[in-house]
Amino acid sequence: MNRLKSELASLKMFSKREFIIWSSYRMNAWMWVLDVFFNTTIFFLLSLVTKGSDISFFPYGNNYVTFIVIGLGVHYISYTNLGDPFARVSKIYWGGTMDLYLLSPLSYYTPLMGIMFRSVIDDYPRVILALLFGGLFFGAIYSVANIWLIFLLLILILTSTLGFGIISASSFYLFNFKQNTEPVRFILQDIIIALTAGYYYPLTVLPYPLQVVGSFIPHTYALDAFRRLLIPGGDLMARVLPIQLLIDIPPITLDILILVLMTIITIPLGLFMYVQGIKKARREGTLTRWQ
Amino acid sequence: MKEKIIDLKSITKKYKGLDLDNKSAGIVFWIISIFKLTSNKSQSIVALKDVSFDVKKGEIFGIFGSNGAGKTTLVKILSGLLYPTSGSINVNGYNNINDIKSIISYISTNGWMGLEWQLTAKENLIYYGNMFGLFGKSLSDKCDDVLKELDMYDAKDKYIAQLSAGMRQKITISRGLILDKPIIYLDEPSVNLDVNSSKKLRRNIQEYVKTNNRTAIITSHNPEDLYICDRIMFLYKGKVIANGSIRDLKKPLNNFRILAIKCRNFEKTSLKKLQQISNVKSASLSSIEGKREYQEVKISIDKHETTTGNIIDFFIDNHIYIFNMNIHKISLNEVYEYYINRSENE
Repeated sequence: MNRLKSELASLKMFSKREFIIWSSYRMNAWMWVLDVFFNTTIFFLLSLVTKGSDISFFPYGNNYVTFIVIGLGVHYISYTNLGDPFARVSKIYWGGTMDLYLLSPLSYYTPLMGIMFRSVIDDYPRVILALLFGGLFFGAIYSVANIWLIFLLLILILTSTLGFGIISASSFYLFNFKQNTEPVRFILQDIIIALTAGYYYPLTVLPYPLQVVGSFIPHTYALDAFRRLLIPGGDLMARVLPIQLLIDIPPITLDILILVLMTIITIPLGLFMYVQGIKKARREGTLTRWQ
Repeated sequence: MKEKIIDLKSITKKYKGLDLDNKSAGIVFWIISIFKLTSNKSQSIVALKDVSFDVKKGEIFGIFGSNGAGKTTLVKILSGLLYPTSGSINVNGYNNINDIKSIISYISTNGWMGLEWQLTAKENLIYYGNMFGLFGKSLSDKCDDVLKELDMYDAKDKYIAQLSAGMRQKITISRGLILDKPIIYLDEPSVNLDVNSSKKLRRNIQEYVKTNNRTAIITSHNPEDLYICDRIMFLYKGKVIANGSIRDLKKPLNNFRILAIKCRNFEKTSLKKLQQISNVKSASLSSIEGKREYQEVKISIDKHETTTGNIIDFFIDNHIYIFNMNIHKISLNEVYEYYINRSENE
């Protein structure tokens, strides 16, 4: 219990430090408000192009702006949880602070989670801003009939993307990827997710093989469930994703089950790989660049 | 007889060699890197070879060695940051990393020193203390005390980016002292400090160890740092070449003085001929021409020897131009050189 308390206190300490650093760049707040506003505006303008066309968003209702801001929200979460852990481990390494963290009584994961807080402050509020700007200025409408289910889905997309993020971060030490790119993040985030997550268009518009590829990322299921639940007119029962067509379970239930499965596979695997990477670095003497 | 607090037996550390030929990028680089997880064919570098020593409780123990001798590797192994390839470590009865790190404080002045440059000096200390489970007013007071001891109190609200390299180093040292652990490792503690600050730091370390009954290990390539040590261990190319008090280490050279000659055109092959002169005990070439305008030849001579004429004749006969020469007592550096020569001749 004391150990847990100490880890939580340390997380608070890391968060405080990250907040002090983040707030020392005063332009930051204005920059990201404007960034989200312009992103939302671009997709609003795109929605004007699609207005009156026969493009179908079935089973996700007919409001393209709501469709898009939900996509943007998941994109911001993924950008932090999946994309950031590798960058943070890289920062620890190049900053020469891994030694300090490992000399402390903290667990291997606390410093990583702690310094990720900078991205949490930077990116999570963008989710709220995107939903807010969409609703206030561009005609997005939300249906919040099942708030607990939405909350559960939010937790699941946070944890499942974080699992992939930690796997990506572990490759820094485990495979010695000390350059800026590594395959997990590059292949997942920059190729598969960018193409098949369906941030900006329904997955059903893609050729079937690409829809199958999209079945291996959590974004597909989170977006499917969020859009059915949050967009007015969303159909809760129609099955459209490849796996939904194979398994006879209500789509949202299936989405949740797959997200749970992805979480329980990726989080322990990521944590295990991360520790193995550090142990390997301890053996090889590659823990920090200052040996 | 003081009890042993650190006991190392036959520690060897091999680093995986750097693969400098690998120019691949992108997918090829990824595949090669993943493949290397299971297959490691790169040649390894031996950083430490069969190192054994012990440190007594309450002792200040020095590790002296030239660059690349293995000092930092050794301290990192002692603090659990690196795993040895073979051998055993016992620190205060512990050999498990988690137990070892609970009783040591490691002050490294390498690289960026892990300081957060957007935080003030004191915020850095608080942040570090928090990491080790220290909080509140007691931590704040402790930080103030340590900053005062190191003459850094006036700079406590300055950002790290506003401090000089020496001041940043003092913050790093303060960071280690606030933890108040039984064993303290100082890795090159005076590397950026001016003469007065170095002197004061040495005094502080000595007082701190005595007053609080602590044990300190200091690694350095600067002999000045180590004159406060009860015992010193010489490391050379990863091997222990001598270990003992300064007096003991100097014993084989008690009857000698050093004749240091700054000259030009001294061929390395002339060393052997020089050593054949009757009153020359040993000779070494300390600096290579090209780096500086001159070379320095150090010659051990009997301390009762009154004439150096035959040595000067040797230089004249070999057309070696002498800039200046002086005779002085043996320094720690020269003792180190003596043990290097001895180990290489063995």
